[in-house]
Amino acid sequence: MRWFNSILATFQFELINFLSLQRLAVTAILALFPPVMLSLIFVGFRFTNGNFQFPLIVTVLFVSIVCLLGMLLWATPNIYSELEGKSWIFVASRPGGRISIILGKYLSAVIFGFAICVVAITGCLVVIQWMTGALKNPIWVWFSMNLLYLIGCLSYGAIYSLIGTMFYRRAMVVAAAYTIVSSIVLANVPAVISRLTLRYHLQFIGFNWFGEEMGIDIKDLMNHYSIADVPSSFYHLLWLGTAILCALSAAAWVVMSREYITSDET
Amino acid sequence: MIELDQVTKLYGTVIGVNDINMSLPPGTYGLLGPNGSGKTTLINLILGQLKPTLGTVRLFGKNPWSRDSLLRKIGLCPATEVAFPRVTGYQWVKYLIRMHGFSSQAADQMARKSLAQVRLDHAMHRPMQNYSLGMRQRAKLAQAIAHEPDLLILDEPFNGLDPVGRMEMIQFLREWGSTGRSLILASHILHEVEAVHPSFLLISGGRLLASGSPDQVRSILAETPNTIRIRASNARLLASQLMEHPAVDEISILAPERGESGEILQVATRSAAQVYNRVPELLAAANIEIYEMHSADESLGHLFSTLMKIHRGESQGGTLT
Repeated sequence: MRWFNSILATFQFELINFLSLQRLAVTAILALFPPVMLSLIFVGFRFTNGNFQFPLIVTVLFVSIVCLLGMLLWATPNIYSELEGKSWIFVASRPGGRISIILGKYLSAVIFGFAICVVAITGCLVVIQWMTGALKNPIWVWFSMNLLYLIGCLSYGAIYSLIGTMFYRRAMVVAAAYTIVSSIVLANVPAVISRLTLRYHLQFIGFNWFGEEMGIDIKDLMNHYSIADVPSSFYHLLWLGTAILCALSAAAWVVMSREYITSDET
Repeated sequence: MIELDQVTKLYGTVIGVNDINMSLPPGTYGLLGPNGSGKTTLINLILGQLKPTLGTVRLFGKNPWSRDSLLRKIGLCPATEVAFPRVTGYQWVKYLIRMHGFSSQAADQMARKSLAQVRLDHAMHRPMQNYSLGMRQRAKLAQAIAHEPDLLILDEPFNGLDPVGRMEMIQFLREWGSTGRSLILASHILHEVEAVHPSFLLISGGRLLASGSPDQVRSILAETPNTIRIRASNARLLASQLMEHPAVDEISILAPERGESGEILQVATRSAAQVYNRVPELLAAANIEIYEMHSADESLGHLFSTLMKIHRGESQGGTLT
């Protein structure tokens, strides 16, 4: 209960701290980027009399980019922002303060990141349905997509929180490098190593839930990864849940066992 | 309450504190040292924020590094400045109280009480960014005392305070000490710490050079090379008589400030205590009127350079405890 109180206090404090014009502007830009881009692509196809075939795939691509950017911006500098703001010692000198700051900031980053995804997904689906009317079950697509991105925010947020505790001085650089190497390079490798990436599991959940609406045959994906059958969503959720727990536990262990030295130490 | 056994802390190749041994029972302590002397490192070692490279630290009988729960007994007012643009003093103090595990309702009452104690209740709903340095200092003190800790640690608490604020801070710290709770007050300004009537811990270059009561510190000063300024009615006569004293190295006569009577005698001595003892006799014998007498070097800088000399064996006199 005591820890829960501390984590909740951190989360509420982050909310107050978050409400600046600058941050809200960044949030708005991130949230509106996918639907605006999608609209522009549709307009472009209209001008050339072309047929925009896979708008849902483009939606997933754009929403994934803003989701990752949002989590990178808010989950990664968990320790560094405190050290830079010189508020670390105030928090660290509280019982359980170190863990509370990690989990409280993680929680707030997930909620901010997920809020962006909800707005972006809603905007994109409205644009798709308005322009094409092709979605057979738009409510289900909206719901399952949001759920998928909530899991994505929780997963990437946990990894970025761990990176923020381990490499706090260069956290953003390391997190960006991790994202490129893991989610772009390794996740596309047709080998077992791709199964260790978050994207591999997230994309299979996505295909299981709304793959049909995306207009891509899941066999193409199975052929790419050379797998005979598609594991259930439960397997992927279990894998991601375990990854989240491991990453957060590791972040908690690192933050408890590490000295964070500021320039004020004399 | 606090025990440090041969504690050394290195930041890479830089020494933070060096081979510190001390055992502090509950009480009021003034941790004195020039900027960069290792005060903050020592405080962070006591708090368990830093792990000693060598030696052991015990706080309330336990290792603070691995005992997070010990922090409940401690209130820390660090030297670092914080200013959140959109957070009020009340929100910040309440947040930090809740980090101790208190409910929102309890934290609300404790925050209001502590902010009133430091006389910041009138501005507690203003954003901290709009606070003056003194107001931020009060907010920092409020978050440190709100949960009524057994040990209060303040790092440079007088920074940014105006004279009235300083007096109020001194008064508050005296009252805190009189309630039987412990206090460690780190500063580089001697007379402000002295006003709280603590036992002194003198640290410089990462070493604990001396510890003791204010009188003991003064005796160290008195028994070491020093310069004494005496303003008297017949300074020249006093100078001629003091010249014969073996402890006197050099005497010069200075003009007094405008509006001051008499002349100023500046006496460089190897033992201020011997001169202090001799002067009254000379004054009485020659019927000289004295207006003021004090050490020209009674500053922390001089004290520390003297203690460092004693520590290195370059100078005699003074007792290191």
